[in-house]
Amino acid sequence: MADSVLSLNKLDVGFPGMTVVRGLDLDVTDGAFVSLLGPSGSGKSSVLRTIAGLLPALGGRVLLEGQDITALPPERRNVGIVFQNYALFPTMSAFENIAFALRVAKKSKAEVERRVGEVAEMAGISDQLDKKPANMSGGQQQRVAIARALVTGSRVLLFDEPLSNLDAKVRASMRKEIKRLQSELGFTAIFVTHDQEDALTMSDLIVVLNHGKIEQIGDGRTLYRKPATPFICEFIGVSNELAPALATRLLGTEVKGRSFLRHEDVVLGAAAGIPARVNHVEFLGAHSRIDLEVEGHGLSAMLIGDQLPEPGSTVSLGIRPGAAHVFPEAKG
Amino acid sequence: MSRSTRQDRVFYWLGLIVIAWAVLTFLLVPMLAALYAALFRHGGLAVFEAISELARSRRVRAALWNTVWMTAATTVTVTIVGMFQVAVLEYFRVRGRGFLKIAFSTPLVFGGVVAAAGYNFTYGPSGAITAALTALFPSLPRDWFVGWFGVLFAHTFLMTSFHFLFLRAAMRRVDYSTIEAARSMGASEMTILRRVVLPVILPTVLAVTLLTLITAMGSFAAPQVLGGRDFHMLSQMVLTLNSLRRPDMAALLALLMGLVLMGLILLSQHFEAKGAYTAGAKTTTRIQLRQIRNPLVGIVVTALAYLLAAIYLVPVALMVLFSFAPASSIGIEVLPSSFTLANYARVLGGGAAFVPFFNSMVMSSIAVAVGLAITLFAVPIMVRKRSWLTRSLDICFVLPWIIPTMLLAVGLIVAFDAPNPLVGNLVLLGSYWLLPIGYVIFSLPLMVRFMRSAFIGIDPTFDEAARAMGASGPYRFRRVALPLVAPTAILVAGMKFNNLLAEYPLSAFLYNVNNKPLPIAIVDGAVSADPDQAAVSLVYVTLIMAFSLVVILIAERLSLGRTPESSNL
Ligand SMILES: Nc1ncnc2c1ncn2[C@@H]1O[C@H](COP(=O)(O)OP(=O)(O)OP(=O)(O)O)[C@@H](O)[C@H]1O
Ligand SMILES: [Mg+2]
Repeated sequence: MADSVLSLNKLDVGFPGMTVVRGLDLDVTDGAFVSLLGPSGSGKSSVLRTIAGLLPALGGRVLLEGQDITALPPERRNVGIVFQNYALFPTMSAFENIAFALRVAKKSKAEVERRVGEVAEMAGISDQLDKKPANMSGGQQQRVAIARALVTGSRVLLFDEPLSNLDAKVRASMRKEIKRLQSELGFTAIFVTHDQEDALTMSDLIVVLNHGKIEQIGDGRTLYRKPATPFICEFIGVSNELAPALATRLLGTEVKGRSFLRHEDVVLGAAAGIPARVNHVEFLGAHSRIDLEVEGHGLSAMLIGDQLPEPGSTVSLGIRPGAAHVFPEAKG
Repeated sequence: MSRSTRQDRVFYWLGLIVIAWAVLTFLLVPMLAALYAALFRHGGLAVFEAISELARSRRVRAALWNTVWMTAATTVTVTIVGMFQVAVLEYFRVRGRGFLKIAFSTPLVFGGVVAAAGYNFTYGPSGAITAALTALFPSLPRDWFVGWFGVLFAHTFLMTSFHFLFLRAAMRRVDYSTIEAARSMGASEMTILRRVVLPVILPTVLAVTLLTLITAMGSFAAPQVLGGRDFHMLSQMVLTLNSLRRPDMAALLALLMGLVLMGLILLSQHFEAKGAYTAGAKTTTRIQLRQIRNPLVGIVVTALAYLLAAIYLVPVALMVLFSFAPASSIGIEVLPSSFTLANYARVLGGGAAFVPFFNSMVMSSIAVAVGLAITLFAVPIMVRKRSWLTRSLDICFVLPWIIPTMLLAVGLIVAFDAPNPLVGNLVLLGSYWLLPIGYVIFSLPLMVRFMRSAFIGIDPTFDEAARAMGASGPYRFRRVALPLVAPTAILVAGMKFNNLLAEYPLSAFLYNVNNKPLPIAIVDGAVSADPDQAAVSLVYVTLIMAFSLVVILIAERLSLGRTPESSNL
């Protein structure tokens, strides 16, 4: 494919005697932000490490800008990596950390200073360059790690859960920061995360991995509104799984297999609803969760606002039209 | 393959080949040579013949008997003193605990030749205490201390470092809530000690006792300096047999001692492992110091603790003081009445007194540098790649820790007293190089152990990050790994350098006129009647102690533990 900067071609990822991900196919267009999302142990890091060459591919090919790099050692691939723990060299200042790759490439002193200066400016750490990593905050270390990965002008940057060590506030601002850098510099990002919020807020494309294979590829909206498998339904957003009998009643047609309904798609006080008993109301701030019992089945709903039903009362239950996800084959 | 990676490969294999050659030539071949000399005669196995020949020697029999009873006696006295120290520092509340701790820690700095010489300068014929005693009791012979008594006395107070290091640590692991529980159930102090505390520290007590036994059995410098003409131990016998041109007998005796020692080391590791298990099981409330109830007992314990502190500190203080005193006051005055830098000027000024100091400095530096180079090259490979080659290298590097030094020394002698094809048919015996080579072999176990944990401790993502940025193997080693392990390397180099400055057994076997080292000069000075020589030895000893102290302070800063090897008598 002409415009794909990175292609994975029937790639088998894993360790000798243990394949973690099998037959992975993926084309990443230039400048895209792609997230690898999946539960812990699903092989996200392993895929990333195979792209970087830190883990030899067990089969298949990795193509970078059309070139087969499967056999190249990591030091000859020119892809940048930002590690979960940043892997900043503790013996070097921020400046030396960022300059590392330039020094390896034996760039002139003037060029090293200029390029480190530029990238540090962009990452907002110009005043931190003399510090050792141990004397910097988590967010600052993160910026140094990103600057270090950017400085050689790699077209592809790999991120392995870079936000997981940061607290919620810094995390949100780093998301914006990474997106800003990406739109300014136009690099292609492969971003590993197990956090759906990271994936939904940042990505052009989300690749959901589970049990060694791709469950679904698509943008956030597609994954949320048109989940391809029950796993996606349960993994992204919060859903009720409906028992077949209840689903049949709510949807008004015969339902076989598994079906899911997101909490916010449950409607209370519907005109032609089914009576449901309110068991429990939990106030969560911006919204509240209502636990209901309907014909012997449990169900949860999400409500916004302060008009909440009383526990023990009975409400009329309906669903937003077309919101239920039905998987007739009952796979997963 | 690019040119630079090809160069890297060549460098890598060349390094491995050089190391394999060195291990073969200077460790394995000497060991085999020693075994052959000990066990074979005229091409046939002749162990029983050789043993009976050994047994016929009256001096060997006497030395064996001396070693056996001295080892037994030392184990008892050291255990008493060591346990008392631990009780005073970690169990009972005694005033001035900080001071006592410093006093009781002196054997860490003050061991081996240095301490033997120190005791001789304090209690020996030219010692200050002897000067004081003869002034009080004119009939007392000046050599009252020399002989079995001096050796036992030195052993008793100098071999407590194992207790100080390990038993104290074990005591701190006792869960205080178990003591309180026992007390709440009405147990008496004695019952608590016997039924609650002792079982927890028992594995460590046994391990420490065995370590003491091992050290006492192999004691060399102490009887050499303090034993006088009539009291000899087996180590000295090995040296004597070797100098009588009977390296086969020397090797056999060293081998027999070695077998016993190895058995004891294995046994002690067994107990150590058990101790570690008990420790890992639970750690909760730290033990709190107990007030001694009976005031009379309290006074006696405190008095004994301070007497012990004096025994530790007085020789050190006297040695440092007299190193600044005119040579003429040594053995005459109890405390120097005037001070001078003349002794230091003589040692550092470049004359005859400077030679052993210079020799030891040079040989120790060479040995430490070579040992560090080998370690820094081989350990990362051993950590990264597990193959039969790296595994065998690993075993070889720790061999000198298990094999008695004397056996290694005799092995080096019999392997290199004739042209040896492995070193281009040179005769190394009698040359400058055999002793520094021995020093390198002797340094490897400690260096390998420390550097291994340093390399293992490096986060692997540093290496991965550097690779992803295009750095080659040697570049990553130089820029990323080396700076991270540098503190450990500096420390271990300092510790080993310090050990080598006072290393006695290897030096005694392998030195010659070309490279007479410091420990030999110290022993010479200690047993000589010439006050000038004594003064020079005092300076040597003070300098070594000062250096040890600096290394230990650095170690504390870097918060790395000390090892048993750093104190052997
Ligand atoms: N060095 C290794 N040798 C063998 N198996 C490994 C190794 N490292 C990881 N694995 C296994 O490979 C699988 C995938 O691991 P990986 O680290 O890629 O998952 P992940 O999706 O990144 O998980 P997490 O979110 O916890 O980081 C896991 O089952 C793990 O146990
Ligand atoms: Mg991971």
